[in-house]
Amino acid sequence: MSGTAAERLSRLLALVPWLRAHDGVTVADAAAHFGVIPDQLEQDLWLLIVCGEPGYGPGQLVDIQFWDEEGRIHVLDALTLERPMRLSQQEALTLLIALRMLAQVPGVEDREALVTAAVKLEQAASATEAARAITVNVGVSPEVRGVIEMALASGGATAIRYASASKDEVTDRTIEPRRLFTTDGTVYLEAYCYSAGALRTFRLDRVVSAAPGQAPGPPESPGPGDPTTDPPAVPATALLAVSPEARWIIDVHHGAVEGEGADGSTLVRLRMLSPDWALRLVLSLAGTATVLEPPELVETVAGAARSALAAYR
Amino acid sequence: MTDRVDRTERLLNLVLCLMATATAVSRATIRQAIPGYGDAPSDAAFERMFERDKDELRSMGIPVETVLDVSGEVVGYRIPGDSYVLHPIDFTVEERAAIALAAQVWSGASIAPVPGTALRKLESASASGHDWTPADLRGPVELTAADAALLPLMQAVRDEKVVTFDYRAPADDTVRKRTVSPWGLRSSSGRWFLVGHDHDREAQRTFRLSRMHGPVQVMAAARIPPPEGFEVSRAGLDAGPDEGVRARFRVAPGRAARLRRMAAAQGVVDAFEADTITVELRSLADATAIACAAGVDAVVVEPPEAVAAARAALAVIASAHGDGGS
Repeated sequence: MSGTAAERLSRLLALVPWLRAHDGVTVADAAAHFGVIPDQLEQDLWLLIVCGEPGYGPGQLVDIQFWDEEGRIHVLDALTLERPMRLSQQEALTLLIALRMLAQVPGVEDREALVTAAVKLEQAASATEAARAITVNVGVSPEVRGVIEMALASGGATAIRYASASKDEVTDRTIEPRRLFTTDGTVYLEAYCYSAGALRTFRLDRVVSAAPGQAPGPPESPGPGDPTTDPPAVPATALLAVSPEARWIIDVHHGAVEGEGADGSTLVRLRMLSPDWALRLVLSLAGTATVLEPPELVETVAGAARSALAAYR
Repeated sequence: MTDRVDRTERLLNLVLCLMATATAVSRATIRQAIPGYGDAPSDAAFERMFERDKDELRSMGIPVETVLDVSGEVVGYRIPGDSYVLHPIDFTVEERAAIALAAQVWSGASIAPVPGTALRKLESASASGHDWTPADLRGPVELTAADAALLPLMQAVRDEKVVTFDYRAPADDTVRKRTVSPWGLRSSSGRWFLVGHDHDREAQRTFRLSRMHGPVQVMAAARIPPPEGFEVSRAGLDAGPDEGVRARFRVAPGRAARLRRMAAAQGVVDAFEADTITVELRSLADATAIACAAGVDAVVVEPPEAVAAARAALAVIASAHGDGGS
C-alpha cells in the first residue's frame, strides 16, 4: 500500500500550487489534468482541508473552497504548499528520456527546443549525472530522419533501402511517406510503395538509408496493406513441440501452452505474424523446436533446411 | 494493527508540520501532535511508523533534514522551504511545448503519472501560470509497454545501490535471482536494458527489463562502481562475450537482412552490398542460430566449428520435420 500512499501524496502536493495558479478551475477540469476521475479529485480535496499544522485550529488548516454549484475550486490558504515541490529525480528523468526519444524521431517541429528544454531541466533538477547513466536510441539515423521528415512535409518521393526482418531481405524501393505511428515504442512509417504499387508499412529502424527520389509515375489506387507487416485477416497459428532451451518463445511471442509432448517437450501454440516470420523463427531455434502444425509450415521448414544443407555440401 | 488515520493524511500532516518549523520538531512532539501516531500501541511501534514515513518522504525527493545539536544528538527534523521548492525555470514557449509533448510520450505506460505530475509542477512554477498542454497535442512516440522495473532501476543507478530481481534467462528459460550493481540503462528500438555488474557471474552483464519477473528490490548495499570511463551508450547490448566467435558468412545479394544489419551496426561499411560478411558474435550457439535462420541466404564459411554446428543443426531441423535427407 505504501506505493499508493506516496503516489497520492505526491499528487496532493502538486495539486495545491496548481490550483492556486488556476484559480476557479472546475473539479472536472482539474481531475482531467491530473489523470484521475472527478470523484477521486473531490476526495483529495476533502483530505487536504482536514490537514494542517499542529494545533489544527482556524488558520492552521489548508483552506480550499469547492462547493459552489459550478464545482469551481478556490484555494484560500495553502499554508506552506503554495509553491510546487522540486522535481524528483524520477520525474526529471522520465521527461529527459522522452525528450531524447523525441529528438531522434521524425515529425517533431522544433528539435532545438527539445535539446534546450532538456538542458534546462537537467540543470534545474541536478539530474545531469543520473541522466548520463541512461541512454536512449530509437534506432533511426539522423540522415534517414531528415529525409523522411522532408518527404512528410512536402510529399515527395523517397528512395529507401529497407532491411525486412520477416522476409530477411534487403530491397531498394521508391516510396511516398504518408504518416508515422508507433506501437510499443517502435516507430513505423506508412507509405505508398511504387515498387509494390500499394501501401506498405515499414519499421523506421529498419530503413537502412534514405534519399530524395523520383516518382516513376503517379501512385495507383492504394491496394491492401503488406501481408508481411500488417496482421493477416485471419490469424493463423502454429503448434510447436518446444524443448526447454526454446521455452523463452512462450514469453517473448505470447505462446499458449497446450500440453506436454511424448519426449518431455512442451506443446506451444503461437500466433504467426506471417508464414515467413514463422519459418525464420523455427529455423533460428536451430533444432530445439519442431513444427507439428500446420502441415504447410512443416513442409516449408523441411524444404528450407534441406536447401540450406545443400549449400554446405 | 491497522492505522486508524489514513496514511496519506498522516504523511501530509507530517510534511506540513516539518515545513512550518524554523528550527526542528522533536520525535516526541511529532508523536503527540500529528494525528495517526497516537494510534501506535508502543514506543517501538511508533518508531517503526515514523522511520517508515520519513524514508517514504525522502524517497519521494522531499528534503527531510535531521537536525543535530553540538554533541551530535538528534534534536528533531525539519523540511527547509528553500530546498523543498521548485524554483521557476525560464522556459521559452517552444520549450514548454516540447516538455508537454515529452510528458505525453509516456501516456499509456504504467508510470505515466510520474512525468504527468512533473508537468503539473512545472506549470505551477512558471510565472505565467499557463497551461502547457494544448488539447490536440500528440507525440510521434509512445511508450506503451514501458516496464515497471524502470523506476526502481533509475533510482538504484542514481543512488549507486545494489539491486536484486528474478530474471528469466534467455538461454535456458530458468528463473533465477540476480544480484546486480547497476551502471546504466539503455533503450534500443523501444526495448529497455540494464547494464551492470552481475555479482554471481562476477562480470559485466546486460539484462532485458522485460525478462525481469516481479519487483526489483533496491538494496542498502553500495554498488561496485563501473570501470573507469564506462559509458552506457557504448556498452554492448549483449552480455560480455563468454566465448566470442568471429564468423564469416557467404551471403546472397539482397538477402540475409538481419545479418547485414548486424554487420552494419558493427561498423562494416559495405554491409548491404558485400557478398561475404564477417561479424563478431557472442557464442557459437548465436552463430548457429543466425546461420540456420538465414537458411540458404547466408552460409557460414568460418570458423570450422561454426560450420560444423550449423550443418548439424540444419540436419536436425530437416529430419525433425520429416525429411529423410533426400
